[in-house]
Amino acid sequence: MLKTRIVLFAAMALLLAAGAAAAHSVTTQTSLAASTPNVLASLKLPGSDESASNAGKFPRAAASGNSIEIISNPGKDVKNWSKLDSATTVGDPVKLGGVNGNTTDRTAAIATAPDGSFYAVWIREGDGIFIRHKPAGGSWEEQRTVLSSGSSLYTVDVAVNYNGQIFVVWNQDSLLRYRISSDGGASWSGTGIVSSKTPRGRTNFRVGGGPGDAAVVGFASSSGRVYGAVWDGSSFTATDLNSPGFAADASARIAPNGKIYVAWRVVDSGVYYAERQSDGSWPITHLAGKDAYGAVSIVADRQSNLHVFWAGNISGGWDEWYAFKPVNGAWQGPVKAPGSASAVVNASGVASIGARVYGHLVSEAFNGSSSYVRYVLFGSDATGVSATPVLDGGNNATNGTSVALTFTNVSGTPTQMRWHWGAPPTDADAWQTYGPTSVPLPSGIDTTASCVQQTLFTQVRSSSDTQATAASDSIIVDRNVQANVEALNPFMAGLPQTYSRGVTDVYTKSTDGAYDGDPGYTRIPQYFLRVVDAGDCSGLKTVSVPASNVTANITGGRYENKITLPQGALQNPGPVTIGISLLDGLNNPGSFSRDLVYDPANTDTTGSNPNTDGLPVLGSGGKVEADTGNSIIRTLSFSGIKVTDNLYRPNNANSQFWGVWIANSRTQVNDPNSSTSTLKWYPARVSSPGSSFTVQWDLFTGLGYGLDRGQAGDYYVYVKFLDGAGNATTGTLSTGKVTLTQGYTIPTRNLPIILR
Amino acid sequence: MKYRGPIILILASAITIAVVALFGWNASRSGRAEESPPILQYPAFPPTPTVAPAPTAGLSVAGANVLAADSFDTADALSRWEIVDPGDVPPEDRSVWAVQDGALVENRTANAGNPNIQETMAVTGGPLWTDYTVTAKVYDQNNGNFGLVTRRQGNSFYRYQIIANQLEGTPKQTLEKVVDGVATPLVTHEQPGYDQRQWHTVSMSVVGSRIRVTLDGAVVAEATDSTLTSGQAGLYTRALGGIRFDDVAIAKP
Repeated sequence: MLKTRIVLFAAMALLLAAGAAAAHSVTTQTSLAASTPNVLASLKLPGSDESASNAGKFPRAAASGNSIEIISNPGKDVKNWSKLDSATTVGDPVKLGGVNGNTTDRTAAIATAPDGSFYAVWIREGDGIFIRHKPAGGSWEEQRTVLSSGSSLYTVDVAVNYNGQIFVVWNQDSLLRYRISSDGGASWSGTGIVSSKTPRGRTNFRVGGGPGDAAVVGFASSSGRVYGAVWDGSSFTATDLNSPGFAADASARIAPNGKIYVAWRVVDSGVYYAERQSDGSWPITHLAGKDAYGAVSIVADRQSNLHVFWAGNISGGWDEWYAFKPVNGAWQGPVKAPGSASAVVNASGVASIGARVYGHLVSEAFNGSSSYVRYVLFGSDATGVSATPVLDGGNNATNGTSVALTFTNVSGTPTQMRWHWGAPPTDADAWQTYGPTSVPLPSGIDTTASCVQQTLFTQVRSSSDTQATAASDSIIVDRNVQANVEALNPFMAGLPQTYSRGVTDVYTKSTDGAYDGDPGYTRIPQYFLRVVDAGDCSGLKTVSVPASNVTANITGGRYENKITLPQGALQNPGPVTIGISLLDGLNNPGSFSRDLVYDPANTDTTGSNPNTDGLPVLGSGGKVEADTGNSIIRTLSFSGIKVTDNLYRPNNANSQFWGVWIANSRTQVNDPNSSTSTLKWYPARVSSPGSSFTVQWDLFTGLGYGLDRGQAGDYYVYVKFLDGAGNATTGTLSTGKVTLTQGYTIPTRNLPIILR
Repeated sequence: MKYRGPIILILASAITIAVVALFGWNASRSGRAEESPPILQYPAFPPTPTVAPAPTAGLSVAGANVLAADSFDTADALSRWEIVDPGDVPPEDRSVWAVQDGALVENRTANAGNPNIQETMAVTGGPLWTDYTVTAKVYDQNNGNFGLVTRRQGNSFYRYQIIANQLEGTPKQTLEKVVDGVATPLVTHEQPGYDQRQWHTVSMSVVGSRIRVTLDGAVVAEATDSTLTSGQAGLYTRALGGIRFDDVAIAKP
């Protein structure tokens, strides 16, 4: 038919005209030597076979070191394949969740975090957006919810910036929306809008994260424009990149050197990308011509080398293409993946650096009857040199004055290195022979502070190349033990119930005492030891009290126990100094000294002459009176009080007491010290012990009346005096009869309705 | 009859088209980035063959038995066909069909020209069509799938589909009935498929309960089924582009 010849002639004429129009702006690039990438493997991912209607769509890949993770949604299951970067085979997938709906729209995505872990996200129709985390070298953790709303959610992507902020972006109601988590996905920001521009279709966007809090979204609009939306710390600002033709299927990435890229395809014109400049401009590079299908994927490896993946029909069939640009070199390729006897589209990729520079391409493939996810491994030998520092073998903390420096992820043949604490090295930092060494920590570290993080930036070079972007590793300097240590009166109120009784005390013999008192006194040869981690970054490990023959491990950052005083059961009353030693996770020692006064009722240390010399003594002449108000709360007024004690408040004659011990009775008690007494005594601290003072007292205390208004009648209040160790005077004061008449007041506090 | 003008006129037209296209292209670049040639060059591949003429020029059916016939000589031919994308296909992913160069071409999707593996059909006729034979010539550049549809009403129809030998999927040929979107194979053949980049003639007859398919003159599938009794006839492929249909005829027995 002649109609085909018309097309041919027209096409030739167009080519001539287009060539003449475009020849004036050829770009010249300086080239560093780098081998052209070659194909190392191409295969069908196991477990990805599905019918066309349930095809695994928009496969994604992420890299951390030499670990590659791939994700897609074949059969409406979110599946994850793991492999090493150089491996030419892939094992069976792990199922992470389900998408329920149309696999074209309810997609899954994956991203790498700066700590080497991975985050996978997906949309489950009707339920929302979900995320799972896989720590470096670990397994997938439980699913968390990003968005619990299920309507009109189409396509999701995820990225993590170097500050650890997770960005999840999706298409909903014809707008790109996002949420951010700064705590590993435990909680999420409200939903924001990337741009007011309507994205083209449901799938035309990608998000990337970078150094600091950098993030970028690349997307194509319904009008065929392409945008780079850059995160400024609080919102995205979208810039029209001024595509030279109808744009579609954009992706975006931020390289480790901070450069921001957006790539896209122009209908019938090929693959383009733009690099954001410091002035905010986005000069465009026309990377490859002719036509491209579906997604164009641009990524950067850890050396900031660029990699672009796309699909097209350049050969006249179904092709996948890969191009590679060393950070300081020229573009290499494009390299065509082997034919797959399938239609392929929506190529995406990721790059890694190991023995070689690897490009990992994943795409949708359809063999005429069923679909599957395809994987192609490209490799090239870049001449670039790089290495990543490792401090103290990867330990996260040190208490030394220097750290051991080694390297991992070494590419090329480094011969020299230089470093700087806290910032990338400059020419002021001398080049040294490359290899393991010891690097002194900065001299200005505050050795009294807790957990000072130090970051060492390194740069290596070979005879022909210098690492473009400094790499870094951080370590925490911890030279001290951070802990709160207490040695307390074991009868203190408020201690764990394991170690102290309640507050209902009885007095049936002279050695009975109160369950409260001065924290620095004890009436038995024991004390309560409490050690609590106060932010020690290596954690508390052990506690020991040598004089008490106690050594124990500290778990959960806390240790509590009731311990025997160093001198044993029959020691001399008086001050005791307790030496407590701690070790933290780095074996930093911490020595603590705590003083306590041993103040028993019986001061005899021979065991043969028991006495009560340790008790406080109530002198004569004192009295206590209750006020006459018709209320259960009475003011007890003390006067003429003289209390002496062998150890408490030695410089305060006649007021050597900590507080009072009070009991109520409905009948007069002739002998409050009786061995059969049923009085219930309650301690009350006197803030300013002296000859006269007052105490507010509840006549119902210990009687079990609650707020009963039918308890009018007579009451008797009895008072003993306590020293700091809780020892009580044998002498007792009484108010005499205190009367409540019907209609007495029970003080109450009116709370707002909301608190009732 | 198709246009057979002198070569000189064709060349003149082509140059005119090129100039106009270039003018339009430059005009469309107003306000856009300066275009530059790509910095990467693809490897050289053998040129894609031009589409050879169909085995028999023109459409030679006529008479009272012809229900419909189309050789797609004019752009308005598309209006005689209803495009159907089965399933839940969002508007931006719908298939694009066009009349180009005297054929009905499946041109991928509305999503900026992206290919999609979704099924698509161009159907014609009405629900009262009962017994007929639909015949079409097909040239597949790189789609990989084509077929015919008969007695279509909504999501129910008979369909014959065949996969290109260049794709690895099997079975290569399937005659099936689709009832409310659920396909039941009536005949399957693991092999052979068809070779791309050459014209094929495919026909599908439905007479009573008998269904018969021929490819390039040979019977490739026969079945008996009385589930579907009437409906539209049409062409089938996937929205992957690269395929053209020509000289379609639907005729009563």
